[in-house]
Amino acid sequence: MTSTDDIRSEGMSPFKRAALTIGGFLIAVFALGVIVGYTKAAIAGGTFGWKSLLVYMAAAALVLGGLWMVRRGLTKFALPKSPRMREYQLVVLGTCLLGAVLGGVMQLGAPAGSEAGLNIFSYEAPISPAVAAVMLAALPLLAWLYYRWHMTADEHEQAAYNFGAVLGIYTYFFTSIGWWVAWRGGLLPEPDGLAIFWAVIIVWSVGWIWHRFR
Amino acid sequence: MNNKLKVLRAERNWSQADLAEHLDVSRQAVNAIETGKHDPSLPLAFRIARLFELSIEEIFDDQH
Repeated sequence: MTSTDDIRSEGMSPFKRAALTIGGFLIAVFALGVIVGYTKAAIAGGTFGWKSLLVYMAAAALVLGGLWMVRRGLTKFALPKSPRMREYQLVVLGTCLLGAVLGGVMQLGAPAGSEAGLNIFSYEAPISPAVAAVMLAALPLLAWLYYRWHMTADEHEQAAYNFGAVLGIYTYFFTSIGWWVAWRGGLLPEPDGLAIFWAVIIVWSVGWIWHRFR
Repeated sequence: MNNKLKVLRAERNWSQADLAEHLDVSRQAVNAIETGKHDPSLPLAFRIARLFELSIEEIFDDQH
């Protein structure tokens, strides 16, 4: 067995690889930011001293640690040889990337100082028409990615997805009916469609992940 | 459902990832089948049987 096979045999999931790579990248960027920010402040205040050396050493260690994590994550990032599983992983990574880009677009399009980009749980937070147009334009691409996901996911993954979906549909059924009845009886405020939507998504995702990795 | 997949895999010195490559499924799927948490479909069971050159009954046992 070659060393490459050994690496693949460790079986690090795409999620762990992505977490390792992205986490390492963020740590390295954060540490570089610390170095730049500290240097600027030290120059402005004229406060270079032995403490500066400690700060630089700690920040440099963080940069190196972050880069090591990125390298390790990328080394583990060996796509499967089988065409179907290779496309499956590319689709998953593409969907994650699209989500990150759209999240960035929402945040960049938000008014200065607002939290509109992060406030996706609220249907009242306004977004600009341009951002809305970008989001809507991405929907066909997202639909195509989902279609390819369903075409390439293996039967174990699909069983896990379906298990989560059944939990999700029952969550929708009982939550919406229960809330609607409670509202009509004056026990609760008017049903919040988006709250029910997120409840369904969360239950669905938890059921899916549990079934897949149990 | 009990099965001999882990033994057959070990005899060939394959990792779960190696077997997953041969079967065109994920490593998690192989793990779930080996531990009895997922019963493979008939097409996948046939692929497994052909890969190890055995019959399905020689690999999978539904008596326990």
